[in-house]
Amino acid sequence: MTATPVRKRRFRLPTMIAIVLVALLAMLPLLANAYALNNYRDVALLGLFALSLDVFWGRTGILSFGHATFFGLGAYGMAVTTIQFGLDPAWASLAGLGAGVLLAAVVALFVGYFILYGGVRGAYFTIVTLALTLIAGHIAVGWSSVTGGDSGLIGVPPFSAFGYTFYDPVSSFYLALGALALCLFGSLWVMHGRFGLVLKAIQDDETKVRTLGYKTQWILLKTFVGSAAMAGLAGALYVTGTGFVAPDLIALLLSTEVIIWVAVGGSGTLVGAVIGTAIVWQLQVKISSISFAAWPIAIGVFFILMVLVFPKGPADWILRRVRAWQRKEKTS
Amino acid sequence: MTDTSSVLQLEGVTRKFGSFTAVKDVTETFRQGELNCIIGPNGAGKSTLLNMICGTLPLSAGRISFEGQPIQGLPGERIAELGIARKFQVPSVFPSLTVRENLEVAAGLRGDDALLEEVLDRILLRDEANRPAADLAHGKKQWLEIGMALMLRPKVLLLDEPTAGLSVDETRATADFLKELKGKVTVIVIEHDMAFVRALDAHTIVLHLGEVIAAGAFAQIEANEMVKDVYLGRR
Amino acid sequence: MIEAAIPLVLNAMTLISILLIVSLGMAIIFGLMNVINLAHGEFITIGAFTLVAVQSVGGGFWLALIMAPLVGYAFGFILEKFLISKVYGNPLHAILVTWGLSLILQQVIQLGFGAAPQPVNGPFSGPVSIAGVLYPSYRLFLIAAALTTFAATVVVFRKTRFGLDLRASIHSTEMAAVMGVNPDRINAHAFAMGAALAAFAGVLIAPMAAVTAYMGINYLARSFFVVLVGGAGSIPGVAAGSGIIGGLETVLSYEIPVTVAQAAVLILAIVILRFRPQGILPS
Repeated sequence: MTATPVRKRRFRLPTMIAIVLVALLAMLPLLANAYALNNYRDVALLGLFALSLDVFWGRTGILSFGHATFFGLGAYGMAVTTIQFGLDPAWASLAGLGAGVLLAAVVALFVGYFILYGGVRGAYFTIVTLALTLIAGHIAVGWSSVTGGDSGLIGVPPFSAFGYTFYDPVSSFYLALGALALCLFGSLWVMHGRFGLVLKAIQDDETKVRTLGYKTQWILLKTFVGSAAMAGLAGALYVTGTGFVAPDLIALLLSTEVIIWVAVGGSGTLVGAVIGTAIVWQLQVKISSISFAAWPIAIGVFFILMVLVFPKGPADWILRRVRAWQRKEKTS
Repeated sequence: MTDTSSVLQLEGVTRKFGSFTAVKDVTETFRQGELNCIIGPNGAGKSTLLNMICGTLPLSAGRISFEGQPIQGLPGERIAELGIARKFQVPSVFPSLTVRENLEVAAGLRGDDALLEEVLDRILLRDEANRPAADLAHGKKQWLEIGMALMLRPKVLLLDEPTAGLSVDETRATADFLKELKGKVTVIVIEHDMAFVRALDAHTIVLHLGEVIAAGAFAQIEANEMVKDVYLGRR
Repeated sequence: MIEAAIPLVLNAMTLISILLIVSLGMAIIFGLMNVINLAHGEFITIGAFTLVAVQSVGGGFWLALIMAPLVGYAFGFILEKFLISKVYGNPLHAILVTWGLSLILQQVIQLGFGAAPQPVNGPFSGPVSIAGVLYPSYRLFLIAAALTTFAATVVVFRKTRFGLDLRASIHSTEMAAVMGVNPDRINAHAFAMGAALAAFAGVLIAPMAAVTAYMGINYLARSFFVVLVGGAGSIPGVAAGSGIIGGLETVLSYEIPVTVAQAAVLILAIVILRFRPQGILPS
């Protein structure tokens, strides 16, 4: 029995899948037309958003019901900075990016500090993050002189940096894919290493991890802020693609949807979050086109089913059904 | 006069719960790298004493010094940082992590890989390094937990009934690997199992109704008439 | 000065009273039973729409005031039997299930009644004179109704068999069963009671607010925080929490826009919870 060196991060399945996924996505511009490519760009950034939720939820087991707050802060940060201040277009986008990510991170730091260091975990944490989205939504609609109120702001310029502007579908798609790939592999690397291990241990028994000398609140806070910054990044880039921001990017409905994206892909796998987004997004578009009410009802039914029928996600439920059926076939 | 090889010193340590005195005026010196065993009938105050040393319970009176510095009153986390590690009665390992991963977490973020391999061998769990801790037998969970405590490089290791629920062989193996710690770590074990205490052959302290009634090498204690009387309920 | 103070105090009392009844239901369901019910806002909405339905067939306000809690009770009872009983002890599941339910309810109500705010009539309108200041009579009625209901609920909990049984079974289901209490039945009735209180609040609120399918969500967050800040599991805590959150929001909204005031109060609640996680008046 050979001893595996302790520090080696094993090449696990999620990483392999991630590599294949990114490679496939990189080839999309060769196959898709401009309109579809813009669509895929949006989905990629929403997938990044879902990834940011999984980085926190999947590893700590604590559900953030308000992650759209951070996505929205990134979006509004970028939009407000690039539209309302008349900055030099050469570096307006970078300033907007910085503003968006920073805004998301700072809010997460503040809220996270007060909740996590107050010993709030689990369900209470979820409620507070829910309230957070409501608060953010209120401000986005109420402070209309800055945020454009209910209608939002139009005219977010395409992302540009160091002289290059990502305005055509292909380059803006690669920008999105690049951000996604960077964050995906970065998250996989961190989470498969010792930091991710400690997070899993905290989920098992936080008190015991404390007795081993770790400052668990700080570890959780770091994860929360990192996850928020990632969501902010996704939001900031998202509006440079679509060109506008509106309150539905910071709304409770979006917070709910992203939970489904992650759940469908299987929370905790990181790459599953991205895949889940792609699957559900298609479904979402189709169902919404039937009627305005159909999609929220579908979400509601999904959530209830998720609890009563497949708590580990539909993929897991299907897998177990298949295995049970296989076992029956063998014995018959 | 301070004994230079003494690492933990108890002076007049007392604990009262209301009018009930659980631990009364205990004065003991524990030396560097020494194996110690605290025995006594149920309710003698053994766990209470341990709780006071590791900071979970405040003292009603007395002093506890670690490496010459007073530690009574310090919070448990601080005492752990200073180098006193405690293993509780009920094993608390991380069930969804493997044996190796449990030790990795105990090793800290800037882990000590060489130590981990050494500890893995010492606690006899090398063959099960990749099994989830939840699947381990009760005895092996105890060993894993001792292993995790050892990863912290403690100067003093406090063990509260480490052989509870272990088979005869496992008990023997536990005594063996604790004996190997002699000279490296100061070990203080609370135990009931006489076979284990005998195998450990350590400096033995007998507690009865909160007081130390005898202390010395195990052979001495075993022969001590008063101790026998206490255990047989004659006193 | 007094003239300015009276409307301020009464406005605060109005909001505090609303929060009191809404949060009382939340206190039973969340504070005592430890169930996170994200559909609590929809119980309020159901109450309000009961008023709409009753008035649309010619019934009066008072009829609706009696019917709404009954509707809420029945609804809560059925819900507990089929959904809530499956998620005891698992807060995450409770969140998902009740959130899903709330989404469905919002859409169904909107499909049934349309998106426009529904017109409802209060039992009396017109101002009343208080120490020389004119104040809407309906609000005074609301304050009185809310305080009465609060007192009645406290009595039910402290003095009746049902209240005793509930508190016993929450502390220990085994003990309660030994004493002859059926925990399943108690849970169903307790949850139903929480729903009934919320529906009652819905009727009271309706004449003052825009009655839409989404009216409940605003009260959801605030009632959670009332219970958390006041002290989960404690009835005096609900009063304290309502007082703080309702009072603060009213005072702040005189200077800054209402939505920002609400945001500020919730932020303050988070800060309070950091330093006193057990709430102000824990049980």
